[in-house]
Amino acid sequence: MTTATATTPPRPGFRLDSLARRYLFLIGLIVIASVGFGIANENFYSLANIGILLRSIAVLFLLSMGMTFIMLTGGIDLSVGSNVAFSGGVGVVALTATGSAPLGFAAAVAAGMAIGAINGVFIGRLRLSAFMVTLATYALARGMALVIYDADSINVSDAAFLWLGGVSWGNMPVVIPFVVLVFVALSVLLYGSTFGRDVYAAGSNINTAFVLGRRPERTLVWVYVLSGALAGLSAIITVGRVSSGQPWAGLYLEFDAITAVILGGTSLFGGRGRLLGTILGVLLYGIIINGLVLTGTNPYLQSLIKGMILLGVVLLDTLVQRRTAQ
Amino acid sequence: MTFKRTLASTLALATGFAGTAMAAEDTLDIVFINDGHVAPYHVAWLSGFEDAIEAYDAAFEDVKITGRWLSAEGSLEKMIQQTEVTINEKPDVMFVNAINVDAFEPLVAKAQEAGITWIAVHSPMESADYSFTLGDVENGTNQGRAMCALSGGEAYKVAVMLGQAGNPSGEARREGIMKGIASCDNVEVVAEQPADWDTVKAQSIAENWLTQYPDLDAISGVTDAYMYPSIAIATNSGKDLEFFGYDGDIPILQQMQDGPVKADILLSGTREGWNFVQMAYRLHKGETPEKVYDFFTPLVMSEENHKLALANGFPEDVEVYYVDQALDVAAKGFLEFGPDSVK
Amino acid sequence: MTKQSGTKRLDMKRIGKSFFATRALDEVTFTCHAGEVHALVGLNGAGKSTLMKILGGVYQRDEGEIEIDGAPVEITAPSDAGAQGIAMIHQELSLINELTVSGNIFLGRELRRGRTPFMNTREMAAQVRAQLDRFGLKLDPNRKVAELNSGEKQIVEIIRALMSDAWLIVMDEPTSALSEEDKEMLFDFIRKMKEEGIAIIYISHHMPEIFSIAEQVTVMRDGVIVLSERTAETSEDHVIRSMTGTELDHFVKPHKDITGQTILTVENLTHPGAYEDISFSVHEGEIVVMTGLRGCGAPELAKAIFGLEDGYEGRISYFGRPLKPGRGPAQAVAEGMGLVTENRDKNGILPPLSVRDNIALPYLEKSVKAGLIDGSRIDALVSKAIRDTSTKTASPEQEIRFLSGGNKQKICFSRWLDPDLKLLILLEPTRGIDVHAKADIYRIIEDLAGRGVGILILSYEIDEVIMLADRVLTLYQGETVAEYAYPGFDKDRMLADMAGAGFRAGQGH
Repeated sequence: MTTATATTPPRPGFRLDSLARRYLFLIGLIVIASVGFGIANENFYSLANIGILLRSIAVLFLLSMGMTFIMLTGGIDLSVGSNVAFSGGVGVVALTATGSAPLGFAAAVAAGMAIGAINGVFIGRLRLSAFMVTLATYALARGMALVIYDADSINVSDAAFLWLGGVSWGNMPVVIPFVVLVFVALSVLLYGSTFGRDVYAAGSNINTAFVLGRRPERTLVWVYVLSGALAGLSAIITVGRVSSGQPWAGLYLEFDAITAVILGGTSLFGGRGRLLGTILGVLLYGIIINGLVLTGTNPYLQSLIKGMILLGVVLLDTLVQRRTAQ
Repeated sequence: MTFKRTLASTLALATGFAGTAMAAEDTLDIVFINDGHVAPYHVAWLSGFEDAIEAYDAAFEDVKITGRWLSAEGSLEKMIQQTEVTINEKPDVMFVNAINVDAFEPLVAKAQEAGITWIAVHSPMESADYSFTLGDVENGTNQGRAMCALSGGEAYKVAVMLGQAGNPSGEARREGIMKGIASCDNVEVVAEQPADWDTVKAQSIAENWLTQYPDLDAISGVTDAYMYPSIAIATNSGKDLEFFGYDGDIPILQQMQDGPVKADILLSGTREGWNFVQMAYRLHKGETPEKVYDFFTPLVMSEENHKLALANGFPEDVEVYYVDQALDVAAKGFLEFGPDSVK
Repeated sequence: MTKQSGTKRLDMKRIGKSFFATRALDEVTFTCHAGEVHALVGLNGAGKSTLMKILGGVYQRDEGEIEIDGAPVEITAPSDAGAQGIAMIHQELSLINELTVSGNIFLGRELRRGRTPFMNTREMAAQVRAQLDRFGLKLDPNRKVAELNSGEKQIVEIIRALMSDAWLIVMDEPTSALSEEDKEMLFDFIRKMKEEGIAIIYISHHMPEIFSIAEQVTVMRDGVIVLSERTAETSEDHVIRSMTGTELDHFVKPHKDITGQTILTVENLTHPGAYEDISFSVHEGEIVVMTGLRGCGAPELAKAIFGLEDGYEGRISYFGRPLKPGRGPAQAVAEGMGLVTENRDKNGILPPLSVRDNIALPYLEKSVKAGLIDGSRIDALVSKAIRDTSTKTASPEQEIRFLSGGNKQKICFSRWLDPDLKLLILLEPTRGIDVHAKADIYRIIEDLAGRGVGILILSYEIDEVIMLADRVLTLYQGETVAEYAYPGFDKDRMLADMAGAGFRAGQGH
């Protein structure tokens, strides 16, 4: 950023920081929620609870980062939750068949990418609506998971396979540094590589990106494949966390991921948003869920509170934006 | 980050002091983590649980009894998270109605390490301290047998609405119902379909069945949640169907005296909620119940139907409550499981 | 509904409006008379749209008064403006494509058959036809709006306004998307409206239009009125000087000799229904302009060259090498071609992204170091592009959607300042752009040509064609009518070619 903004007419100067403003707002909410829950239950700040909190949102972190890429292209991926179950099933079956954890990992990630590739080809190459296509694969992947598992869970005892999702160093689950690594890698991909620019370009105006020779149709395919790969990684973590493959894993996770991405300020119409916002969105979401459990809040109210926070953040943001725009 | 760390350690210290200070008083903290919260059964269950906590806390002055319940809304991930957070809170007893028992094995070990008594709800777990089970196969068999005994000996077509694929409780109930039906030749199962414990899905399935099988005689379900839409649809389309329920929901029991519901299994959410608290209290007092504790679940029929059934060869040793009695204990959980039952 | 021509009907007195610290309008006084066209001109940001939004009830004035027929009125919402008989005809037309002409005109106040809920479509069509006949317009009231061209749509909007008893029509750049033919139709319509006593506020940048049709011209600059005179008593130059506040630096085409090698050769290119048997070539440093009426086939031709279409016969060679049909823009860009499309907002810019990202996109591959984008290289490139095109932007991080039309278009150009660029295809490069930016864009085009880039332009504005071209290709309904080389341009003959006159008279000159 340059300092030129200070001397320009007020309108553009304010607009420039609309995302930054959202992030500050989210950080504020996170602090308020943390302090509030901390007062209500001293256990909230215990290292054990922080470990639990982070571990519980590790999978959501991964899926939401994939969802951020997709929503930056103006798309949506409803299939990620089902894909966690499907790719987990493929991974567990591969593990039991071969006895090799690396083969199991590879199979899970490859299966996730396969669902992503189906989404990507239909959406990017054949130009079908993302909502439609992923709604179909949402059902399809869940169905295949049920078939693979025969609707029952499969126990996993291979220590190597369970390591990522199951092991903690003290209170620090190993999955947390792993998620941080993925975040760094995806940030480099999104902000540092030509692929990342193409993601923004495809979401800003796909026609322009096309005419400029950026091959947005190819970008879309890869974005969905990326989301599928992250679903595969999430599946490995989920299996590790529960020492078994579960046909109903990942149920409704797509909605949590979409919620977190929207909280994080990424536009539903593509082209605007950053990974940092999504991270903050997931964190806020996780803290609220954790805190509501810790404070013994009536479960009837929990959904209500989540809905109100989402609506409140979006509403406030829009109001502030309108005020500065006028 | 440093701020948080300081705060965390300060609070940890505070907790330590508070912990020793509180240990003087005898406390019993019970947490119930349920898989979902959609059916009337759940509502009755959880409110029975809450009422029982209050009643026990008031009845026994020497113990401070507290409790709360959580609902995972059908999501495995959410349930695991809730369980982890709860373990970290160290309650005395946890009732966990696991969406899938395999997924909870690591957490059972963790809870026991923390000194928590883990009671697996409905689906028994080898590793759990206790399992609270419903005798689903036996109950289902009773429902199937009742169907046989009340079908009148002629060809009788029934459609069975199942639970969610892979859910052990639903599978056990199905197994029992089929076993009971197999005890006679005239009852034919024309359709079986899972409705995922979902009332809305049950509605469309019932609609389809009524169109597809115009000569259907009865609908059987593994939960009373399916009965509400099924009865409504049959009534609206003027069909004279009979229903065989499972759960003992009060509104369904009310449909039994001269109504279309012929038999039901008296689980009753309210009763179960009360039974949880009674069990936790007994454990706290040092009693050791069976490792696999079977919830007492009589079959419900009208007196008239019971007689008819007995005449048709229904086994006499099956415990049957008549409708009035069933309604009474279903509404007032304390009759069977209240503080008086353990005083 | 009509008053005698020349009666003062609208009087906006000393209108003032501020947005935060910015004074958008200051003591603006503006009047309209029955049966007259009042042209309102000014550069982007001069305050003319703010003034019109106050008149239309979109904004509220801070100071001043509005009088209609001598009586003060309050216009606090767009519906108030409608009730007062003021109609705004927008650039973005507000018609429903799926309805017929009369369906749109009667939208919301449909005529019914007696007291039944059924519409009397025949009566509605008859009433619309009567209005169209009154103004000598040929348009079928039963046609779907989707089938109409932009000129016809505009007429439907105006008729709708007139049929709701509007006496004042505000038109914002009405000709920006119109062909010469449709422009003439619109001007005839405006003249007829004047005869009927309708008052018209006409917002435009086009001096010839203003001077042929308006009685009064008012120029705004920086929120104040700097000139308001009868058109008969002023001159184009005077108006332009008032708009810009300085002498307009006229663009003068530099002299040059086209001697370089041939970049592009098109031979017998045919796409049934779009263009037929087109042949021409573009040399290094040469500016070739295709012109004609809308529907002459030139945009399709340009897209075929850029590899966006493949259903053609004939041959396109690029540096002597034949190009594969429909090879796609990615290939075209890699070969050193660039395209600036006619519709900036549809496929020219990336609205939510910054100026920087908009400029840098085509250069990304050339700025990669060790797999990652080299930010400093991009920065250098972006600031050079902004400087070279004299784009006005607060900073390179500014989102492009907040720039004016002219500056957006400059950025569409600046993306192609790549040294490897060989051939640039420009579709309507100055559509909807004010005079200031126009001169800048002409200069950029000449600079590129001076560097040896071959340039192929499609323009529908005859003056622009003559000002820019080294060679002109006139097209009529997909066929070449004639080719002209600098300096042998004959405006009248070109216009005749475009209208098909020369074509029918016996194929070319």
